[in-house]
Amino acid sequence: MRIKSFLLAVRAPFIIGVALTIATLLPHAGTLISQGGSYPAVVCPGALGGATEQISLPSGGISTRAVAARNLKLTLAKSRVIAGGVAPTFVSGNPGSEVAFESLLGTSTADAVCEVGDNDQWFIGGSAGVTSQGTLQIINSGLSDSMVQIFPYNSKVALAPIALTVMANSAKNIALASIAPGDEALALHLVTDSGRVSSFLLDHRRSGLKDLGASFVTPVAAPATTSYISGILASGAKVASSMRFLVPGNINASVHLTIFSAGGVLTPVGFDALTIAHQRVIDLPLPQIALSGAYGIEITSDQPLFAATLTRTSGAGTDFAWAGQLTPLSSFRVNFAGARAQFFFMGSSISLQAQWVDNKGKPNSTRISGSSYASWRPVGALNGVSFKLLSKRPIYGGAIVANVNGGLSYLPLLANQLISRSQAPVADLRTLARQ
Amino acid sequence: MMATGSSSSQSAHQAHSEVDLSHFFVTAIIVTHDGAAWLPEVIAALSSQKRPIDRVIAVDTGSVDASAKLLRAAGITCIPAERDLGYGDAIEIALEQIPKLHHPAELAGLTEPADLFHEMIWLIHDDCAPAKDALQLLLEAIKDRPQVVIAGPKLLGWYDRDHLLEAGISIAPNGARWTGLEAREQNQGQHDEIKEVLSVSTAGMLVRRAAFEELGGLDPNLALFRDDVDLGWRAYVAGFSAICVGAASAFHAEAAASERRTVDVSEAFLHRPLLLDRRNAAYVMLANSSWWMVPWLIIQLLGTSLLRVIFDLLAKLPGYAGDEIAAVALLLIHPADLIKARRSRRRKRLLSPSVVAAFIPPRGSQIRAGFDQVTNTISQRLASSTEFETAPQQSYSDLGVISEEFDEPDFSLPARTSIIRRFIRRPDSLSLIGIIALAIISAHARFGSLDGGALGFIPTSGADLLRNYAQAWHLVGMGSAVAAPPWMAIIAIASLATLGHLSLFVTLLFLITPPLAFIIFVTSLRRIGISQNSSTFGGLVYVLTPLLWSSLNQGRIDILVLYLLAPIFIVVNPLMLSMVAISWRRVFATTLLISVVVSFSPLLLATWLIVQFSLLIREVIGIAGNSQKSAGWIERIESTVFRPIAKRFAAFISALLLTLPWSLGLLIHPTEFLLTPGIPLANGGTVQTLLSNPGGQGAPAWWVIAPVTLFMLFSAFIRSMRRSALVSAAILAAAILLNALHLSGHGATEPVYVGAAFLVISIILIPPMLVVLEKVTPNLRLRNLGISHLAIAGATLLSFLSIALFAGWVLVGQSTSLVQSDQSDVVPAFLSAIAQSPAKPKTLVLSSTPTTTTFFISRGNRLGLGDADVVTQTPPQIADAVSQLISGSGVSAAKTLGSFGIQYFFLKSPVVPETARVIDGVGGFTRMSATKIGIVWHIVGSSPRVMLTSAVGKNYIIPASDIGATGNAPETGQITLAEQYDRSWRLISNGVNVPLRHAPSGSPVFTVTSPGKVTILFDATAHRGLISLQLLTLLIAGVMALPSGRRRRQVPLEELV
Repeated sequence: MRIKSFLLAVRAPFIIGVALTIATLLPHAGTLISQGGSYPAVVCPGALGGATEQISLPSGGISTRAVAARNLKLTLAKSRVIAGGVAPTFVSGNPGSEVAFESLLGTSTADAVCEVGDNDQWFIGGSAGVTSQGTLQIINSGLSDSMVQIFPYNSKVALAPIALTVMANSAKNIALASIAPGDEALALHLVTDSGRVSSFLLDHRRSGLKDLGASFVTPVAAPATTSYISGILASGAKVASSMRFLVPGNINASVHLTIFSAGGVLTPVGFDALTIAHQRVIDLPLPQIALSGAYGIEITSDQPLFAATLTRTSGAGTDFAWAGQLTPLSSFRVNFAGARAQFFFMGSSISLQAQWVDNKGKPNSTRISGSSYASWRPVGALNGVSFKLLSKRPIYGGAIVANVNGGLSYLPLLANQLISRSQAPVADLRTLARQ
Repeated sequence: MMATGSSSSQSAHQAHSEVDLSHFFVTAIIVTHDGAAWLPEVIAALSSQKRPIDRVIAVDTGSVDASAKLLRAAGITCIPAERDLGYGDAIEIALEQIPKLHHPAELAGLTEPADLFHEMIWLIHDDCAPAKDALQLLLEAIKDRPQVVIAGPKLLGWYDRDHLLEAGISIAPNGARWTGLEAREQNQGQHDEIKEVLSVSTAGMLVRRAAFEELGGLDPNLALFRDDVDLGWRAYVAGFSAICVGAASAFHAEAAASERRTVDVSEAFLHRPLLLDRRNAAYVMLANSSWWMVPWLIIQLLGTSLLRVIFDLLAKLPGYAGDEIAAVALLLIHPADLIKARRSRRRKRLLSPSVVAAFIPPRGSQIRAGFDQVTNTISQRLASSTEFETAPQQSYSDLGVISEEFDEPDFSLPARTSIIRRFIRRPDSLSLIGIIALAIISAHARFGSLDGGALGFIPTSGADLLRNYAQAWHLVGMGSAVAAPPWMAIIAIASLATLGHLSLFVTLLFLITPPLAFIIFVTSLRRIGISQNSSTFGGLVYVLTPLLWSSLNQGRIDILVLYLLAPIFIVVNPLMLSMVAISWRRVFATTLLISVVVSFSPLLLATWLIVQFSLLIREVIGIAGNSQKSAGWIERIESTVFRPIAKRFAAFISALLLTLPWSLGLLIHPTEFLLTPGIPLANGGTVQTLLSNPGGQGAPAWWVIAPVTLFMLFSAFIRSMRRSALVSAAILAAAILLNALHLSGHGATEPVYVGAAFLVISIILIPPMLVVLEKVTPNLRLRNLGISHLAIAGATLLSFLSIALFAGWVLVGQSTSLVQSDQSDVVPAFLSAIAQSPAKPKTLVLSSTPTTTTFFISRGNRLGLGDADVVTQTPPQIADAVSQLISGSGVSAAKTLGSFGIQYFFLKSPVVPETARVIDGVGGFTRMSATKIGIVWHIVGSSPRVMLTSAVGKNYIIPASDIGATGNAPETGQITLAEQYDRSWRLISNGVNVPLRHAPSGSPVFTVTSPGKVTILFDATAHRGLISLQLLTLLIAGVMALPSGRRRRQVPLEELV
């Protein structure tokens, strides 16, 4: 009798239990949402300062066009390395990264990862001094006019902003010397009010007939209290490095700098609790430290700041290269187009898989790992290289690129065409509602 | 028994006892027609008159009862007459039988000069018994008033002899018989004076014979009814007058008017007294009034008849309604009678007909009387119900067990505490104050015109919402022909409570729903006999739930209304499981209530329809199985066994028809039964559903467990509640399963919202749980401490804790309400303004976050209340174009969007820069502005709402209104309407209907073959038809649900007279 009574009592909970089980087994809401993903188109800079330009494409089947007023037709690239013209090049979306290699007079070379662009970009590098031949190229690859504002900073003060309009599907080149005439230390903040704008800053210096070198300055999106610059050529007799800082806020920053290299982890003299004045571009030479190969720098500060490293080589291969703050590496694929490179990675736990094809077409693979830094130098010239992250912790990477003509270049390992994975656009009435 | 009337008349008689009335010669004329029931008392009353009647004569109009026999037995001369003889004709026959007295010598014993001698006739109905002194008082009054030719007593009820029936009569301009008395006015001597009146009833009319004959007697066209008023009117116009002698009284059964005997006069078509009365009323008005008044009177008579027809139909008295129509028709069919009557009156007229104006009641008095009657009826009903409810409890002394004096203090002060103190001492009052405080605190962001959440923008006026409901084509997205839900009409009509100010009504609804729901729930519990304390506890459990308070925050107006209506079902059984004992009226009343409820919840509509259909099938099968095989279907249908099926079917079909055309759409698309009114919102998951918490923004966290959830837990283990627990568990299980489903509809995709199911569970569980608590708790003292003590204590403690926790959450833990007052528009104002231009451009609004990208088409106006319920799916071409646009590959996106009349593209803040860059980079979008609310692009080459494309590709704009368009087509070509395709779109070119085609883009297209005027319209004939059917059903159901009017013959005579 008691059992019967109990059974009658548990009927209700049993029904609910069955319903709960079924409801749990049904597909979860998240699995029902359709995901869409796409790779944005990128823009490569035009050949600046009389350079010759080659653009390496990561794979075949990529279409390009010149960013010129009447040209809107995309053309399928016939090879993986195409010649760039004076006009910037628009490259259709694909999962790899494109690199523009520019060769100037002598040994000067400059490499830039082609970019999607951003509405807010900071260039920490360049010079408007007497040797400056540098150019800021603002490219509007969109089909409507763009409004861009430039906020320059020099070694003393934040300069008056410059506003300009870039017509649809065109580019505007501005000489750095015209932005802050005479200033060696320069930083630029570009704000795009409207339009699809990509900007490149080529720091090119020349003294008389002697070419002093050239380098693209890597754009940075936002200041940070902890920054990484990775892949700097170790100092030596013909190699010297310096740091450039900009604290965009209104408070001076106290900065601590740590160098990671195969020779150990150290802080250069004078770079512990270093005070950096705000809203000024500060250049500080790095002391000559005997390090082998490449190294990386971790910069920590109590205020968000920008930092970049300028490495100069002298002698036969006179050139220089700017290395800027890095963002965490994502899966990355690039075509080095036969150049040699040395890679340097930073991070608390480095683990990634590198696959590459040498200039003979032979595929290779290796695993790179380390606790706070890792260095990898593939033997021989490179064509396609891809990195696949094996660690979930952030890894920062940069590469020193030695071009065929002996110049020095720096290439940040920044995937320019990250897939923008989002929920596929859906018609939803709530778009019109206050919720 | 004679009561006040008699005593007053006695005193009056004493005052005039010395008056000499010997020079009057009175002949009483009784006309009988099946009056045996009243005749003995009438004869007795006549024979006992203090001033004896000089002569009595009777005319029997073919009585089939013992009337004639009774008369003869009383020694009264009885003249037999035809059964269909009218009253006036009967009097005429009687007068012919009694020669006129010309000289006193003709009568022995009379010595007065002839000019002082007055022959009077006293008209007596066979159902009217005059008081003993009636004749004496009438004669005394008329003695010194030579101009008075007609006098009559006040008429009192036959059964209730204090009930004043008449003290003189008149006629209202609309033909109504006018006595000037209040409904069921009691005789307290207030009308005992002698006053001039238009006329008195022929039931006891004393009239000078000479004048009567000079006036032509009673009009033979007025066989019965209104002949008295007519005579009085003619008397006045001839220079005479009439009085009512209030001190004199007669008791009248009004047998003919109250349909206690058949009306057999030849003029009474189909023996219907009401028809004759109305016809005669109109006749009197039209025959006696001035000619210039006749048209106006006709309008008044027709208008009043029409109103009476409506009221009679509402009272389910179609026979009376027919009488009203037939009365006017009869008069208009025979205008010759009227013309003759007017001629004869003109010949005898001395004064203007308007001489009686003083006796005609003003129009306002009619309205006032009608209003009084309605309020009287309502107050009587309420009084009777209150009487029943508040009948004092019988004491022991009432029962006769002890004497009244026993143990009673010698002196005691009446225990009268102040109203405020009494109010505060009551637990329900205190709880109500607390809930009001919570409601006000909770509503701090909702004072003003509300918007947000599921609600949408509230139109200012209820009429706007009603117009939206009635519209066949809705201006939402790409347009929609989906029928609007009936809850829109209900809310719009309910806003009459705030004089049609809809936004104020909704604001108040959001404010007062918690306290009002508490009051209604507590009252409902009290009606089923639950004590005040338990009802208060139940009310708190009902109101302090995540469902109600999250609905307030989320703008779920449907749940709020359901919260107010649901407690009614504690008293009313919504499912009507057995139809045998339910009256037709109850069936329709319940169905009407159900229709209102399910209008706010398609889920409940589906459930109710399924249950009713199942019961119908079961009943049909039951009858088919039980009835005799030999009986045919007709016999079965006519049998009483079939009646429950008929009622069930009527309920089922009425609910469907009352919610037309919306319900038809639901039947065609059954998944829409699972949608809830308003803009879809994210809601809770399985765990929250298990805890009766709908979840979503504005809902409490899962651990704020509603007391009703605890009730459900405990009810499973209480034997008497197992049935309720099982049903509740089944509903909750269904809710859990439904909640796991994701459904597209109302413009978004979300899990099914099951709030209505929680409400049903509350109604199923709380009342029986309180009954159990009330039963068990008193017995706990008698038992040893056991598990039941712990269970009850635990349940009560946990419930109180839960209530306290919930109240705490309302006070301090509530997150931001989605519904806010006075919110700004989503779309920039200039786009709203542009949307009103003749091109009627649309704007595609895009909202992009790093994880989601949504879009919808705006037509400039704000998303309003009810708009979500009619939204249709956006054409896939648009969705594809937006998808391609966002991915950066949409080179043809602008062209596609433009072809749908989308001329502007608005990227809502917060703007994801990448998205803006992509749109900037795709051809066809020209940036117009970038403000803090977003970025606007103009789509190059986009089409207007209506566009003519000629054969050579030239485009012309046809100016468009919101729905239709009218303009000139300068060339032949193809007209494209940038709207959702629907078969009801029509284009008329030069008066010719142009065939509709379905364009590949999904828009309606017409090919115009000749230049000229073109008109585009949406043919809403079918929609109007369905709405009309709905209104017709509403009318029928309303009439059926109203209390039935009674035919006069059904009203107990005691109640009437």
